[in-house]
Amino acid sequence: MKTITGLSLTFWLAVLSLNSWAHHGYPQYNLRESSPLSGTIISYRMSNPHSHMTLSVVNEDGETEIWAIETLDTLRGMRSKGFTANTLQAGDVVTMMVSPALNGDRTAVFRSVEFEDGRIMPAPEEN
Amino acid sequence: MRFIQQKNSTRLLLVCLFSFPAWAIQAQDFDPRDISGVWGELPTGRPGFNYNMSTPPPRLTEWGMENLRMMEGITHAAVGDPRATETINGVPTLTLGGQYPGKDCEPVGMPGNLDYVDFGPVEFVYTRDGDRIIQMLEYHREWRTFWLDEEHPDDLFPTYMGHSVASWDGDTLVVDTIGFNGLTQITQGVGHRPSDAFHLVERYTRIAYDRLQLEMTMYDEKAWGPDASWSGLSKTFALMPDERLQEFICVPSEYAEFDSALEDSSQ
Repeated sequence: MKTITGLSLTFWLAVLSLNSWAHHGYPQYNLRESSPLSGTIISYRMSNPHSHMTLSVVNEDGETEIWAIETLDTLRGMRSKGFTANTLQAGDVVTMMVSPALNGDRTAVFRSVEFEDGRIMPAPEEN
Repeated sequence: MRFIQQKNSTRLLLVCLFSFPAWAIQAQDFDPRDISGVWGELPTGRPGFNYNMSTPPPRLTEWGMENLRMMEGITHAAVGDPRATETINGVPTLTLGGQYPGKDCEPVGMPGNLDYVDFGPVEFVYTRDGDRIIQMLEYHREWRTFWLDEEHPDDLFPTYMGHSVASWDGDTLVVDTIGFNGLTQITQGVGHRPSDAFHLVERYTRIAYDRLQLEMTMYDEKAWGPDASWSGLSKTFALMPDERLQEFICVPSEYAEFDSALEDSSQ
């Protein structure tokens, strides 16, 4: 069997990631930026077309806010990145990288999560 | 169904070679009339939309503007400039909470579901009798039947997926679909629904062992006029021999907690 290969994989992975966010548009989020959001998991559900989670966050004023986070990926995409139904549990203290809503609402698109033990999912090269 | 094995004349298109290098093209014998299996979408490198569009969609007729245009806005403009603030028919794009196919777990339908093969692959299944090919779309778990060498019946009941008949034009499977109920968005980048006169023609050609080319032309004499059509829509799929379709069911009740938090998240 003859296999033909082409340009570097790194370049095309970057192109692929750009295409994946652009597919649905997600115009209500600033997908060109991501910022850390630390808090405690309230709920986590893997579902289609997008998984979602809620996060309890203490803001700069010491007030507790509830954030609604959804993923870009479908179940297929999340599973391919190693997520299972039990990856996140209520009570987990995490730091997520998220792309926030453009209008300032406490909702964002999930990019990655760092656990207290230092693990990051998805792995940086997949993110 | 028996397939006659024939040697591929090695039609490795340069566009595939240079456009999709991350997915290797495999030179291997194949039967061009066998499109069975699981196929995924290749990355296009074009943010904003997945069709290789060479022409914009037609403008709506006056009747179409009054009856089909989706006023809520869509998630983004598909044709031409992905940063455009409105579609060719003046539907606002990039709108917060804007409409898109399958929103709120509504049916995606055709041809809209073909927008999302990168979210979930498509599988073609040949039946033992050989009288039909079933196209199974993972995204929103939708499927449709291509009835081989038949005519559309006169008494069609309008549906989300329409009624499809197919025949071989050489080594190209031509699928002709009518009978749409007009309740879906034509495709993500077109901010209007089809009329019940919508007519979709798909041409599937297996151009290599692991490449399936799709060319589409759309007609809608009510929405666009009797002489208008929208062509130049193409996609290339890659064979995924080790892949299986996964369950994809959009369940509104699964979003209850998230939606509640979303309501509370407003400033």
